[in-house]
Amino acid sequence: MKTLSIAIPVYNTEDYIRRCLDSVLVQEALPYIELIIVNDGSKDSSPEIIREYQARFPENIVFIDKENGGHGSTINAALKAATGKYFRVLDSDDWFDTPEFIKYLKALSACDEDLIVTPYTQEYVYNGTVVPYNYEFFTHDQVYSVDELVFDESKTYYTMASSTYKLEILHKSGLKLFEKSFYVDMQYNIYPIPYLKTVHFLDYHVYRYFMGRPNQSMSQENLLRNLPNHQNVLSFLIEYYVSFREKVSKNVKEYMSLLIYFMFYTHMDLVCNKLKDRRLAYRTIKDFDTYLKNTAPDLYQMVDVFPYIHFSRRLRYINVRFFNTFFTKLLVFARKVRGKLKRS
Amino acid sequence: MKKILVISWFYPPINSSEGLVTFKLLNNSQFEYDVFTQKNVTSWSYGDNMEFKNQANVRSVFAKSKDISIWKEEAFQYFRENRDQYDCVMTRSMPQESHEVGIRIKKEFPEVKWIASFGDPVKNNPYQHIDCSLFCYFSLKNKINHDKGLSFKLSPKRILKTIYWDLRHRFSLKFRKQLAEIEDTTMALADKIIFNNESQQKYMSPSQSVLDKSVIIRHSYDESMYDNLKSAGRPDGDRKLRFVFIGQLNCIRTAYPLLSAIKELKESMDDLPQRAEFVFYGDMSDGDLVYIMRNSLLDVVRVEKPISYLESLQAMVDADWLINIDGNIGLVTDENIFFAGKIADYFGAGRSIMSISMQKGDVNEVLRKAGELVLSFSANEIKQYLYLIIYQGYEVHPDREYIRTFESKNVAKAFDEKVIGELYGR
Repeated sequence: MKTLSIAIPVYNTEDYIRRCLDSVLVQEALPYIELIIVNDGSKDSSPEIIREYQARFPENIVFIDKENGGHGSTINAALKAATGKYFRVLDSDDWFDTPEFIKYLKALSACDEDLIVTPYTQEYVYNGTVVPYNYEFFTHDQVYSVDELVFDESKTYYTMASSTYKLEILHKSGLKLFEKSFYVDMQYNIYPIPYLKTVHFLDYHVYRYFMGRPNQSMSQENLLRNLPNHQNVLSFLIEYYVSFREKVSKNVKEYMSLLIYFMFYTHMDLVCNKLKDRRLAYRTIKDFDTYLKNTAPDLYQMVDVFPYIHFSRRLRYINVRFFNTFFTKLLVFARKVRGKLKRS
Repeated sequence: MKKILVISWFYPPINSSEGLVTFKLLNNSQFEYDVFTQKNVTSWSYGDNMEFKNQANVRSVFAKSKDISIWKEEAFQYFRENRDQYDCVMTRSMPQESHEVGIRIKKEFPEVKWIASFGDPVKNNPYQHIDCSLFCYFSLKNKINHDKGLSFKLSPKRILKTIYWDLRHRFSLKFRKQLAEIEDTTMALADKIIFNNESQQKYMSPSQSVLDKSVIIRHSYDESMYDNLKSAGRPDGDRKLRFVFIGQLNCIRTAYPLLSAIKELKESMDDLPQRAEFVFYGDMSDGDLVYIMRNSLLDVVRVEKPISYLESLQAMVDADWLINIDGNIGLVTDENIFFAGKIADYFGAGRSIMSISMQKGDVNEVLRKAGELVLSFSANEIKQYLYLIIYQGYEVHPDREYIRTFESKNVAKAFDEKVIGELYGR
């Protein structure tokens, strides 16, 4: 059995996939790894490139060529085919830092914990800047019990780029990501958490997260376009949390609620501030808030700290209705003029 | 068909990349050319002047003047005196003065066919945009001010500052306006326009009509120039991989990403100086030189003075990997619109190429098609591949068939068919 199964979802990444595979398929790494490359119906030459690599490394590459079903479907397929002790995901436009990856693999082969966490780095390739994401509350090569961990201050959570799960844990959790949906990475981040007992931190910056455009991470147009997907995933995770909140330790419950809190924050920020259809915004925020109040009152209380949620609840969402409309803009302008006149 | 008069400020014996591009093209073409040029001014050229001999179909005519404005006049007078010998003129920038001669000829002799060939953009050159700000910081033409409030936009202080800035920069603004006029008139009047890559064509073409009459003629390498060049070999025991960059670097086209990758790799691999060396032929920005010294990279990196064209070909043949570095012009455009002439020469040398460039652009398309290594400005990505090349024996497998399309005979054939052929309806 190989130490690590790496799932590589591929969709139209012919320009980047070589970089991704070159970074992983090096002599020192080959005894430890299997790659499960899942082509999600690419229309470019990605499948041919993968086949070329498969011919060179038949022992290490499993190639699944399937119809388009979204990011979640590729990970589901990879999970079925994986046979390694550990499992992690590497997107085909990202890459691993090879020297760090080799050190990580050697350390991983001696591990037996449920989750291995490594820091990662965002690579803004258009200007060469980097943003490293460190887990400062961890010590290198230290094993932690899930109950020892503190999550509140740093607000850094284990993302897909930083987590290596024991395959057994993922199977046990019954992880199945939504197909044809965005934001399933949050599902991946939360789903196995109730089943974890131990976490091992390795301070190797293995994962290099590709940022191809200046505003890639916060592309609000994309988020707005896929708002229903975002809401579906969020609702699913709230219900998942509710079903587990009594069964897990206080710490795990806190961590799960923290992740949902982040997602909820993004969701409400988008709906309240960016959605142009104000009637829809009003309806969405009101319905979702009522849903949250009925489903998870503890999360409802937690979310109350956002100013706009807090005041919206107090004002019964009247301000949401008027926010960003011509009327409010006029009011703001009038206030500015009044201020200027007062000052002069 | 009569001979074609080519008006180009740079042409051998001046050792300039602009002139060499024209030289390789004309000498492999099937048609006859007279090249009106000069051999007095060597600025913008590098190394010693060299003596490349024209083929029988090309004849050089040298101007007497050293001054470019008098050279323009001389070129026009030469054409007027020998009008009966030519029915087609080809002008080549940089500098843009040759197009000015073209405009004058076309206006006076509208029946003469005119081919305008562009090296870099004349107006809206991204390097100028980044180097020297084009608008006042407070001007509403500046993109950053678009989202600001009404109080900022109507502020008398802001308006006065903008007017003052315009007054202070009136001469450079006037010059830029003239450049824009030259490019626009050239685009409107020329019968055929030549660009060297698709990204440049997209960036410079203002309308469909210009797109329709424009043609892409790539830079080329001349196989015969490599005939007598053999790799000099290495002293016994020297198994270092040699990475070579040839050309000019500055603060926009900077070696910084590569140097920081070398620094990172050296920190993790102590034996790097015994396994690889990086040689830069040509000028480098002060910032990069300081970076090399501050980080003690002199045992891995060597910076040599600029060399002549023939010496540069020898240096290419002696290298294991050839490096191309493009400037990051992302502040102006998302696409790299430049295609360095050296890439074609690198193809001719037959060595592996590592290119550090913007995400989008014709350079990446071409090099990917050719099977070479295309990297971004990420130091980690560059370090990654340096590690793979130096320690893991990583190799590229160039597509020689595709690379042969850049051979000057093939490029000149395309030029004969797509430009001259279409112009004369052949």
